[in-house]
Amino acid sequence: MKKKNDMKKLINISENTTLALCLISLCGLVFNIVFYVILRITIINNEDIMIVADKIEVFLAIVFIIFFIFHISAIFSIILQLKFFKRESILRSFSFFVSVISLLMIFGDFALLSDISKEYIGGIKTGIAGEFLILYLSQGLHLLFLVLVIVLTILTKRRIYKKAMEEIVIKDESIFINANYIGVLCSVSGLGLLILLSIYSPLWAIKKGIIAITLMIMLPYIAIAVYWAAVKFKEKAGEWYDEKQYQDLAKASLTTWIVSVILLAVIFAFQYWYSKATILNVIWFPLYLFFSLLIFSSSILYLSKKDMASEE
Amino acid sequence: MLKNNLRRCRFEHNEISQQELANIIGVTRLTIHSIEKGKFNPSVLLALKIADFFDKKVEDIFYIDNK
Repeated sequence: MKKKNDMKKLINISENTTLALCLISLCGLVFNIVFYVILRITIINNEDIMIVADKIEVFLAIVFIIFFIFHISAIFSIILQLKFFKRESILRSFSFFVSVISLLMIFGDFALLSDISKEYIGGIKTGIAGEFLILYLSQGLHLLFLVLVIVLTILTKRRIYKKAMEEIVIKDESIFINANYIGVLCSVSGLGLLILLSIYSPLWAIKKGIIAITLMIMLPYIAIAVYWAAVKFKEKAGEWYDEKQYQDLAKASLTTWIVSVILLAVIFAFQYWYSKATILNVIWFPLYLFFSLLIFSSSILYLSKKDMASEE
Repeated sequence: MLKNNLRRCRFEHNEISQQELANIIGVTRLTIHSIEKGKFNPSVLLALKIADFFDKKVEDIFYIDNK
């Protein structure tokens, strides 16, 4: 009981810190967006960007640092929630997924700004529009994450106060279910992005970025899997799951194997009979990875949830 | 088809919750829920653990319904 109260205190402190950082980050995000808009207009008007950049580069660096600290704090909060609450939550899984992608995009923003400045110095202005588009989309992702954190913090605080006596859970099921929600989110995002890239991007661009994109999208799933492994490390391998979970895993694995063999057969057929199926030569592995993850995670969720119609 | 009186046993045992029973037996709440609903057949070991906890014979809790 004492351990549980300590955990509640820790969650409270973590939530308060994250919320404070979230509000500061929100101001930082507005500042960033305004700066990017001014920067773009300055470049389009052929004006000297150094006049704009010199004045605010220090603030920009501070915003990046605050953003980074906020993301780490928020991810820590979500992990604490995953550990504390016995019920799984789609919102929490979604927030975790967005948090990891948003964290990576902080570095992405930095790289994009660096590219923009290089292209500006080199006098190349044609490619800048694409980079600004990604930069704006990235700010949209950061904004989504900030909103999710605010909503999640409010819900968590309410739940902690409401449910003073949360039941103790010995054999955890929430990480197991949440990990599969994240698996579905990663795979759907990955497949969606592969379809978009196949339609709108030239082959050379896909070839250049496919490994980084695949890793970036898989990272939330890898992170939750590493967390799960860390939690289970102290248990014996035979106790990692209970027997119902083992049965669900076996059924999901069999389904995944059958469906992935069919998918690979289709890919093979395309490559065999249509020698021009060059896009498949580049994306076949990410396609297989996201597809099999989707089948595996959704099968487990279906099997776990199908007879869980009601609460006690 | 394997049926069970698990719900009644829990009721008679001070209305112990699915989560409490799951903690004692060492499984997840979902597993207890699935057994109770007849959607999952427990192993002999798990059935024995459940029977042992309620201080009953396995066949007092689990039975075959031929209908």
